[in-house]
Amino acid sequence: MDPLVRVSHLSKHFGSFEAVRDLSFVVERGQVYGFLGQNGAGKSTTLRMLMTLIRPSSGHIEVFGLDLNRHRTEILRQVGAVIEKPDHYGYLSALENLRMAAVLCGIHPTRDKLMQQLEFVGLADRAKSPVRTFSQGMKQRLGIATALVHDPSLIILDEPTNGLDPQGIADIRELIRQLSREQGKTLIVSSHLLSEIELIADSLLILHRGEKRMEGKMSDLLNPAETVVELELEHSSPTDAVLNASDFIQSIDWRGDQQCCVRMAKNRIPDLIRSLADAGVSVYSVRARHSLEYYFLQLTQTETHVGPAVD
Amino acid sequence: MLALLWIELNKIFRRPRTYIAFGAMAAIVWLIQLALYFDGQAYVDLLLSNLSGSFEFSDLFKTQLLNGYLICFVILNTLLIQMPLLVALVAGDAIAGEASQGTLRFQLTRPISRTQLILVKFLASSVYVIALLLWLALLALLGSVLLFGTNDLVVLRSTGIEQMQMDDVFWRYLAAFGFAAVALTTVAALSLLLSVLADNPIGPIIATMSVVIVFTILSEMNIPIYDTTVKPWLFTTHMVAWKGFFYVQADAEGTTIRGSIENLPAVFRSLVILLGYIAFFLGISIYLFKRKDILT
Amino acid sequence: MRIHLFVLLCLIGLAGNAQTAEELVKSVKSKLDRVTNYSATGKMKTNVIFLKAPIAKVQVYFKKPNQLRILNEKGISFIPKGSMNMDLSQLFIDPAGFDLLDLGADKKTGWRIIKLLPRDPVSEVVLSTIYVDAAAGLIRRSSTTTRENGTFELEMSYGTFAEYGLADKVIFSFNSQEYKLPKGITFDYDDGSGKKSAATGKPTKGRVEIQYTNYQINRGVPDSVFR
Repeated sequence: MDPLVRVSHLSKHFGSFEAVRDLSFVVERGQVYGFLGQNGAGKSTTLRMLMTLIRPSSGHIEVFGLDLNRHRTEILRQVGAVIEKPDHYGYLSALENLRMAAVLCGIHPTRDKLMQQLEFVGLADRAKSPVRTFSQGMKQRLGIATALVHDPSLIILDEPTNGLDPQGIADIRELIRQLSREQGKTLIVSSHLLSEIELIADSLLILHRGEKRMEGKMSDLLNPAETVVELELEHSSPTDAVLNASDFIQSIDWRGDQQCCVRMAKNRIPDLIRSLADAGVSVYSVRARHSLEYYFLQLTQTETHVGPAVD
Repeated sequence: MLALLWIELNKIFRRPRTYIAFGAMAAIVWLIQLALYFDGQAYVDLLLSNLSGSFEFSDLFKTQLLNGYLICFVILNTLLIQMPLLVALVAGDAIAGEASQGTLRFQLTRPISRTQLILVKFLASSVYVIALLLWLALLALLGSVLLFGTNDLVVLRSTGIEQMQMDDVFWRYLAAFGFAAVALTTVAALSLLLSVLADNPIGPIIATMSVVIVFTILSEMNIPIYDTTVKPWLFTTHMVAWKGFFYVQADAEGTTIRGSIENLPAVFRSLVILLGYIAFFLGISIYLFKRKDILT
Repeated sequence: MRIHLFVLLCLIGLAGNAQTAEELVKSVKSKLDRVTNYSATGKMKTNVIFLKAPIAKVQVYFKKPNQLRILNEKGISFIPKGSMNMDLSQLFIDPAGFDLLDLGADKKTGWRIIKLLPRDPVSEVVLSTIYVDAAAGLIRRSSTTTRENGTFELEMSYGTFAEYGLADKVIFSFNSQEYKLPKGITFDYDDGSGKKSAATGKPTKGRVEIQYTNYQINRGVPDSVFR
């Protein structure tokens, strides 16, 4: 099946500053595609280009197999987006904002239909309240409701959990899951929080300083065999002996006198601790970080490019 | 398009700030009417001071002169500067206000073209202009006529006096208000253009007023180098063409020709120039807006 | 009122006039003296270089000795200063009297030209000249020079009410002072025609023409009309 979104060699510069450089990726139908990167990596800029808020300096974007430049209106009828923090008309109610969004998409749903959508995001009891009285979380949920009002096939969410409390974050996560698994929507979700992306995305693209650093399926990246274990322990000859002798350890990285990171299979951690204890090595702390998190930090702290470019 | 227009009108007329303009206008009109009601004779004496050497002015004459039609004319004259500001308050906010609120994103991520959006915002601003003028007509014309009655209208120009009989006045006001709608729509179009260039509405509002004030000063100054070069093309020169409906023709003996306009082709020409400005401002707005990166 | 006449030496051009100037003036005056008051409806046309005004329907009221009021009840009319003098009786109102100077007949019209010189040295009127239709005993034209208000002229056309010396049409010419208002006050519309206004801003002559109908003579006019 053709990808839903195909981005080829997309670039954007503002004056001499290159916000996005030669970016290419594809999003398959039905996927939850994660955009990961630190603040200022170019995620929002890319999503704004996808939503035609910003004109690319060069490159090509196809959505639903159509050129975005030439079929913008047709494409946007099938796309819903929340770009950065969702802003609404504060002096209008949630219901009025939602109705406005529907009319802007060319549809005129009944009041009941709009109430259903507010119910879906948990705002039915605040339908008539002016939006200026809403909390950040409520505004976020209303933003999602307005993005979904016209039942789009592709949904783009830029930092959807920003400013939310843990319950709010969990709600958004559940919503995304429902949209993807139950309704078969394709989603592009951006975040600077790896933990969030990890929990919802099927595929991932890591952006750093406007460039793609990595792209791939989540299942490939979250390999339990690739856990990074951070150890705080005394660095001594017995310690070296144990670590070097353990064949399940793939790499050892000392960062100071008592800090060590080893890459190993997660299920062998107990064996390592037993071996160290048997050798009389004092272990002060053990923290397992999956490889993706470690990987992300490594990538964003170095200039390393990993993975083939996807054209 | 109609549905979009309805949305824009809803936005304009649901905001309390819109009614500041209507309130301000009512306050100015009522202040003028009040002042003239209680001290109109002093105003009339001032107007006639130039003529008292040639004519006798009885109290009846002064009362007749200070009628609703003259009061309305005085009010329209006074509001020349204020009205563009009231228009800019809304039109200048059309794009820049949404940009600063973040709701421009809300709109431009929907399947409507940027051209459509600019046109619909311009239309909504035009409807607002018409609403303002209807309000003004109600207060200044109807209100003045109710308070001061009607009589012949005497208009003082810098070098002459135009007098129209009372039943030859009302249609002129209809035409003048219609013209004023076009004139203020020109200001709305300029404000909209400046709004496209900004991310905060204060800039476009102040810029619009600055342009109108500077151009009005240039239009009114009598400096020969400006008279022949710049002045004929300033839109502010043509915005006052509504007064042309109150300049009448006279026969060889100076008798007003009923129903006449001194220079209708000139008024029409001013109208065409203003329409040209509207098209120009709107065209540039669309061109720039289509290319604008929405970063807010 | 007794008029003491001092007859000056007449020029040869007066040969052939049956009536003396004194007799003519007396005859004219006798007609005017029959009218103690009147009210009349009229159509007034105002012709002043800087003024465009419609023809107005006016009511004219007169009461001896010197009250005249032109009223436009429904509209606005610019009444010139010195409109009192539209009534011919004002020519003869000075109690000190005046000397007559007979200039004979006007070559074109045949009207008798008589100058009236007020005897009062501080009189507002400096000199009046009347053009009398001797046959009809009516003043057709007059020109009066005053100290304060310059010179004004009257032209009269008679019809139905000639026996009372009341004209059907009066044309009153007067001096109008300059008119100019700063553009900064008026915010004029400049139509770009480059056409200069006929008004020059300098003093000019103005004209008021009243076509009278429907005189109500000696029926009484209340004083309140003149307040």
